[in-house]
Amino acid sequence: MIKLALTKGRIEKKAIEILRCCGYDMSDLDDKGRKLLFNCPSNNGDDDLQIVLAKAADVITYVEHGTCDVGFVGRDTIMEMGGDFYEVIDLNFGICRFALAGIKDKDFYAGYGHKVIATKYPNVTKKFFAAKDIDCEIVKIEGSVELAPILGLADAIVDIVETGATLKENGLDVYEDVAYISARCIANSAAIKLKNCELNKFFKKIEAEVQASK
Amino acid sequence: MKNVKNIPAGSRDLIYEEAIATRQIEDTLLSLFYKLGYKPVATPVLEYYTTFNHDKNDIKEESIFRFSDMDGRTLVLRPDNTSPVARVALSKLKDEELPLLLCYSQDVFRNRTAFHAKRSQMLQAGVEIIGGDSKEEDLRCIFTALESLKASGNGAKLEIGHALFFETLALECGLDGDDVENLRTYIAAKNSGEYPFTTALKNPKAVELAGKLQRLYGSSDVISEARILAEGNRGACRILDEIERIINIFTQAGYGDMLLVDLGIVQKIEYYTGIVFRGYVDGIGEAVLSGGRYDSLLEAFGSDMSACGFGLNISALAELSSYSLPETQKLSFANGVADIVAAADYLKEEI
Repeated sequence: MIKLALTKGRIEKKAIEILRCCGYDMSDLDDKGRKLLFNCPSNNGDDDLQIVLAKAADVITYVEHGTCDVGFVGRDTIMEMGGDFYEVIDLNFGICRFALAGIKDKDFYAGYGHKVIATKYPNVTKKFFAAKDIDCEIVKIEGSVELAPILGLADAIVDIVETGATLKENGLDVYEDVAYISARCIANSAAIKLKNCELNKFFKKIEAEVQASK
Repeated sequence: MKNVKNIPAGSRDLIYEEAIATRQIEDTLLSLFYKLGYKPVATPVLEYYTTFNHDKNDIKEESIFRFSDMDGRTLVLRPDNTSPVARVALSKLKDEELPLLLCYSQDVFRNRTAFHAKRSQMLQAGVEIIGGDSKEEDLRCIFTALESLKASGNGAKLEIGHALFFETLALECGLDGDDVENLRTYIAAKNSGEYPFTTALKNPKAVELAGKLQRLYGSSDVISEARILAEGNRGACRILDEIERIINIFTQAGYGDMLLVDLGIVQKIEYYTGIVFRGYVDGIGEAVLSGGRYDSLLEAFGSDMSACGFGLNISALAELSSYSLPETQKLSFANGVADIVAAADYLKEEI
């Protein structure tokens, strides 16, 4: 049996669809109720799946500790959390990007002043600016990050941008792309060795499905 | 905050079964090491920071517990066993006959990020082999690792790779500096998404490397796949020959079931210089054993001798194992002389 931690929400539906196409019976997830563990038997005699639904950051924690063998999670959370695991497949959905954004038509890099950046992703932001040798102050925001430059709390934000519609509506614009984001399949570093055959088979099926839906 | 009854995060009290398991596993491993000719050393918990702060060190500075002594020198809680054992080998044991076979079982300390349930104190047993013929000592070291794993848990696997396989191929592709670093991180994560080459780098050899190396793990079949990637690169071919030689020898000796190959093992700092290996057992979500050949570490101590070794995480194994407490008898001492004589007789029987 392969234990898979699946991120609830944004990438859940597409992930279930891919797994169904890979020959798993996903009917246990049709009516979820309050359940957190789901059994998804294989239709073609391969190892069955047991699926755990969790928040993105927890998917990484479960996989890192080896309580789940594999996980489906966004690259955004991987970049922010880091950790010790393998990032084996780019699932090629849930595509968006991290971007540096702020008030439209302002030159972000002008002047010597200390920059203040608002973000939900302090580690991603820290790394991005460190690579540019720029010192900046990071303010962690929990909700709508777009408010920070509008209210004058920050010079810019680092956030996930899908279409850019929210930015535009609030008079903001992307200054620079920070990183490309998509859903990834991650794997525990011991499981990939101890369950080598089972997991390789699983990865091949997923990869074929990802290729087919390109 | 008087009479606090808690311990810091990352520390553990070992109670009954876990305490016994820890000692039992330690005893098993040490007797195995002694039987194979390794001699024990024990180094102090407190050392100078300089023992670990050399350029071959792969321990993050922030993960070392540091203090200062009366003279203002920086002391640390031993974060690793290899450097102190190398220090002893090259100072107090410098005139010993080579190869020098040493073993140890002692705690290492790491300052861990909060809320990850990772231990800051970990009991590690291992061996270090200093000097001798590298090819022969690699076999001795891997044999010791295999037998240690066998004694440690079910479904044990040892994967073998080479620290310089990636480097050798990356150099041939004309990659250098940041490009090697970026691709290294990418391969280390076994990331099979398309590597974001800047156009300047994108030559067919590099693309092939970035697309294939992270998949080259598993049974020894991957060696033949790797031959295609290494074609025309003499250094890389020699590395594959060496891994194949080792796999063949141990397969013929009956250890085939335990062996895996991982050619995508890369390292951030040039610590290992040859064969590297990691061991896994069922039920533990990370490598319990890791080691390899690290000739360059001894350079940091001013020696040109070769060395290899490994360490095994006893703390993780003890958590997993199910030792039960031995039958004990609570002796009475209420009757003075008579009870003491009875207790002494009882002990004699036991022995």
